[in-house]
Parts: sequence; C-alpha cells; structure tokens
Amino acid sequence: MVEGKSAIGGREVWKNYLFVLPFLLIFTVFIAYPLLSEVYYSFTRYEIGIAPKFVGLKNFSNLLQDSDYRRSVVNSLIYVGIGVNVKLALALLIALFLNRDFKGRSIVQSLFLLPWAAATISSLLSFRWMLDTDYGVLNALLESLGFGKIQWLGQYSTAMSIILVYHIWKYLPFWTLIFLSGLKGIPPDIYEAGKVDGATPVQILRWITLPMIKGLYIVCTLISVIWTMGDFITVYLMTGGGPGQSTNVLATIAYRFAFRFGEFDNASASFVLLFPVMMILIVFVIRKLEGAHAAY
Amino acid sequence: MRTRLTTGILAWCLVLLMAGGVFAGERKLSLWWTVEYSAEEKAALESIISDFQKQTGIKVEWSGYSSTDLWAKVMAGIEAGNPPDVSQVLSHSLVLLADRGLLMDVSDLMEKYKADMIPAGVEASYIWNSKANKRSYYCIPFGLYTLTINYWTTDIKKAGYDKLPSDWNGFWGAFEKAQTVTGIPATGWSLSDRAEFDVSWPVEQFITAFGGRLMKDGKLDLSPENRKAVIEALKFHTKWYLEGKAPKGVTEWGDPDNNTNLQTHKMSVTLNATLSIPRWFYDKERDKYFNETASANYPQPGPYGKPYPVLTNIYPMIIPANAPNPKEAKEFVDFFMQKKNYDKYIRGLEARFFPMYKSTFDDPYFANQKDPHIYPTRQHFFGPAAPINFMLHPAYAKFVIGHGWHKMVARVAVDKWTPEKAADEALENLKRTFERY
Repeated sequence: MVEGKSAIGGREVWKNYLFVLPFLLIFTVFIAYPLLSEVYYSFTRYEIGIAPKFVGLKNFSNLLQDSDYRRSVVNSLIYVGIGVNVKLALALLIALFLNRDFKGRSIVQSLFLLPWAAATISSLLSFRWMLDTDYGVLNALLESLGFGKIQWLGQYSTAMSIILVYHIWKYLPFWTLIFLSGLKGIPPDIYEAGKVDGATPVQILRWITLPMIKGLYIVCTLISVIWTMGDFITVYLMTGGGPGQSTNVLATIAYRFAFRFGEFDNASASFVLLFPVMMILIVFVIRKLEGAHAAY
Repeated sequence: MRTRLTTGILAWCLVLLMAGGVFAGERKLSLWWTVEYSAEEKAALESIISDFQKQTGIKVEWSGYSSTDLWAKVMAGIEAGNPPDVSQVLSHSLVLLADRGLLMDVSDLMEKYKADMIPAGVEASYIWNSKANKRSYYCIPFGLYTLTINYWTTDIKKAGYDKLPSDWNGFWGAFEKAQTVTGIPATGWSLSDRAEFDVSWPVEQFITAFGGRLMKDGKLDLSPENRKAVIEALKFHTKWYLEGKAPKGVTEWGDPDNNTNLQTHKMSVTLNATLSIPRWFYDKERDKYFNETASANYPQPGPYGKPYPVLTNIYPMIIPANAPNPKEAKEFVDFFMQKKNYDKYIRGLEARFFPMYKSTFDDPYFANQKDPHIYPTRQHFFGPAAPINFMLHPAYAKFVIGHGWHKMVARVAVDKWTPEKAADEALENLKRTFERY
C-alpha cells in the first residue's frame, strides 16, 4: 500500500519535472550556458583566432588600468542610477495622474505611449538631428532667441545628459503603463474604507497606494536596472561612445572589445567585473520584495 | 497498413538521399560584400557573379552589408566557424585577422596580378602573420584609395586666386583668405568618435606632411622628431575648429557629415577618404561638379619645405583560413581579378576606389585630364605614395581601431588639453599597444 502511494508520488514528481522541462531547457541554453561561458572566458585569454587559455585575474587587472574602461563603469553607474530612478519616479507620478478620471484621459494615455511605440532607431536619429549643432532645430531656436549654438553631442556633460534624456523619454511610457495597471489592481474597497475613515488624498497615497504597489515598484526597479545596464543602442547611435571615448557604457565598450578588437576575454570580463555589484543589488531587491509580500 | 507506412518512409528516405546527393555535388560559395555606395556598383557585382556562375557552374550565394556591419559580421563568422568563402573587410581589421593567422595566404594569386598593380597598394597588402611568423599576401586588394581634397573653386576665386597655390602654407592660406571674403568656414573634418577613417586618416596624413615617420622598417619609432611631428599635426588638425574656421558641429560629425556640409556649401574644403562628395555633385548637380568644385592634389613640399608621401590604402578581398569552400573561393577571386571583369567592377564603383591595376588607369574614365576630381586625385598614386601606417603592423592597426587618434584629437578640441599633453598620452598609448604584441 505504502509502495503504491510512493509509486504514484514518484509519477507525480516526474510529471512536474516534465512540465518545467521546457523552461529548464530554455534557461540552460539561453541563460545559464552563456552566463557561465562569459564567466569562464573572463578568466582566460580568448581572442579571435586564439583558443581560451586560463590567465587568472589578468583581464580584470588590465581592465582596471584602462582609463576608457574605468570611465565606462562610471558612465554605466550614472546611466543606470539616474536613468532608472528618474524614469521610474516620473512613471509613477504620471501613472497616478492617469489613474484619475478626467475628460480625454484615453487620448492623453494614447499620446503618452507614442515614444515607446516609436521605432528606436528612427527616434534616436530624430533626436540626433534635432540636436545637430549646425542644422538642429534646437540650436536654430536658441539662435533666434539670441543665444549661441550648443554642441549638444560634442561635449561630455551635454552628451551624457542627452543620452539620459532620450532613455527616459523613450522608456517612461512603458513603466507608466506597468504602474497604471498596478494601480488599477488595487481593490476599490480599500480606498472607500480609507475615505470612510476620513483620510485625505495625501494620506490615501501615503498609506494605501504606495504600500500597495511597493512590491511592483521594486520588481520594476530590478528589471529596469538589468535592461538599462545592457542598453547598447542608445549610446552607440547617439554618440558612438564619443567625444573622445568619454560616453562609453559597459555595453558599448564590451562591443568594442569583442567586435572591433576580437578580444572576447576583455568583453566578458568587462561585464563580469560588475557581477558582484549586480548580485548584491538583485539580492537586496529580492529581500525587499519578500519583505513587502510578508507585510501583506 | 504497416507495409504501406514502411514503403512510404523508405520512399521518402530515397527522395531525401537523392536530393542530398544532388546538393552534395553542387559547387557553391558564399560571398559577403559591401553594398553602400551606388546602384552601378551592385549591378557590376551582380553581372560578374552571373558570368562566373555561367562559366564555372559554381553557385554564388551573396549578401550585402555596410562596411562597418560587415566588419563585425566577418569577425563573428570566423570565430563561430561559419565564415564566408570570400568577403570584403576594412583594411585595419584585415591586419588584425591576418596577424592571428585567420586568413588564407593568397600569394599564388597575387603573383599573377602584382606586376600590373600600383606598388603602394601591393606593399600595403603584404601583411604580418604572428602565427606563421612571416609576412605574406593575405588579401587581394581590388580598390585603392587616398585622402582626397574636395573644395569649392568658387570660394577660391572670390578670394582672388585663379588656382590653388601648390606650396603648403599658400595652399591652406587660400582657404583662410576665402573665409574672410565669403564668411563660409574654411574647412571641416570630423573630430568625433562617430567617424572612422575621416578622423584617423587626416591625422596620419598631417603627421607625414610634418615629417613624421612613426613606422620605420616595421618598427615603431617614437623619436623626439616624430613626437614633434605628431604635435604639429595635431595643432594643424584642430586649429581650424579652435579658431572658428570650421563648422561648430565637427566634434560630433559622423563619416557622412563632411559630405553633407561640403555639398550644402557650409565650408570651402574638406578631406574625404573617397570621391563620394564629387560623385554626389555629378549625379545631382553636374554643373557644380565641373564648374564650381574640384579636387586638389596635395600641396608639395610640406610645411617644412620637404616633400612627403601621400598615404594610400587598399580595399581588400579576403578568403578566411576556415572558409568552407576554399577552392571555389580562389576560383571566384581569380575570375573577379581578370582584367575584363575587374574593369567592369571598378568602373561601377565610379571612382569611389581607384584601380589597383596600373593599366586600368589608362581607361579614359580615369585618364581624362578635363575631369576636375578624378584626374587630380589619380595623381596621388603616381607621385610619392606610401601605405598608411596601420597596414604595416597589427599593433598600429589596433591602436587606430581603438580610436587612439580620435581620443587625442578630442583631448584638444573638447577637453582643451594642450597638443603636447594630448600627443604624449596618445604616443604612450601607442607604445603600450606595441608592448603587448
């Protein structure tokens, strides 16, 4: 009898494994294997035409001595730190606004989504042309107002700022949409209970809305950090890493190592070096998330 | 039922085996090519491919890319073990690939052609291979190019010149004078990472004009004289922008931006690695091609009164060492380089690249003295000419690919470093790159 139960249990377990098998396969092929390979290559000398050979920490020490790489790390931290936080904070504010009833709300919502719907390359090129020093509409406007031309993409401070502005402009609608759906998911009776208790709109926001979407916000932060860290096209097309290699981020410098020099070892190491930081961040966010769930 | 099923399966297996046999017997090759210039270029290539297929029965599967996309694709293809049989590549990446022993030695083919080839182009094709520890021909150069000087003759005339002075100071001074008359910025070339050869090539050419020879007998030479040449070249390269004699946007220009700025007459002169700017005039505003613009020969002697070589570069075809169909690849290259086919293709390029064959230069298209652009540029290859430095050593190529000169230029133009400090940083970087080899 016991044996029979055990056999049924075993079959159930195998059935469960069968259901997760497609995921496991995809995870192994597309995530685990490339990730582990990247870690492995970062400890080897592996260039085009040269088979991987273990060299210990040499790639990391070379990278840390490379001023272009160090600058790309700083730029990545700026890009992720400012880009993600400003984007998500704004997205939440706008989602709160769009969650209210007002005339023409659906039109505003649709218009607001346009940047996200626009093709990335064409919108990037449009940005670049608008900011062109000699032909750009923005400088034409400044000149008509009596100001001089600004080299928007020709100096580090403005170039990095423009990259951030584009990133926020482009991806803000997506995160707004996510927060809006999160806000819609809060049961209306909780708000009604708050109102019955005499809570002001600010108190409702502070004590009901924000705690209810805290978990969502943390998940969004995590995902956005990962996506933004890997963003290649914005910097590549906007500045090409210039002026003077000053706006490179990790994604563009890794591309430079891999596809311009054929140095797959340095390309791998440039990301692996930041793995510990990313892992700490991910663990922190997941703990926060678990805490948030435990609270409710 | 079971018998019918078995018969069906067997029949399908037979069909597949037969098809496999047919496919296995088919000779083919894959070709990756740059298609980014003109419809004529593509038509000429397709015509050669069609003739080749008819003559040899070898099926050519070809794909077109932009030159920078192709660079990354070839690199990935070779590493992944899935390379093309024949491909174009940019010259500095060719040097890196050859150095790693990733390209087929095609000396046997080059021996057939090189007697009729421009010597500077042949020299640039003789490349170092660290793996084999020797120099050899690891590419077939089919295009030759040089840094062309394109300008508005109308501006020069307004400044009181019938023709450009031929000495260094007089030559460049004419454009400065033109600016005072026309108000149009004298020059413009990119000072940005968004451009590729449009930055590094003028730097190299100016270093050479100021007497610098950073590569001597295959070795890096960082003598004080060469350091001085780099500093002077850097000063000359950036002074136009710093003194308000170039459009303000040069610090963010990509490769096409000097084209559009000269075409729209936002400056009087530019340097460009091909004759794409005049070609645009030829297609769109032919009167300006013949009567309002021209291309200049380099002013000689240089700024210190000494003659200097004009730097030339090649546009190469390669066969990867791990090409799946090397025999067919060589057959294609040989067919392509046959004079009749080659001339058809190079004419299709409409002087984007100049011929490698000396005899093709006799074609009236390249020898027409009345042409204000092709003829003066043609002279670059028959005067003192030398291969550009990055063709001579993989470390130099790596420095250029890593935008070593771009960074130096930006240090002065953007970060406002002194030319001495910027040059020293660049030369230190160059030295370190060589030390790692």
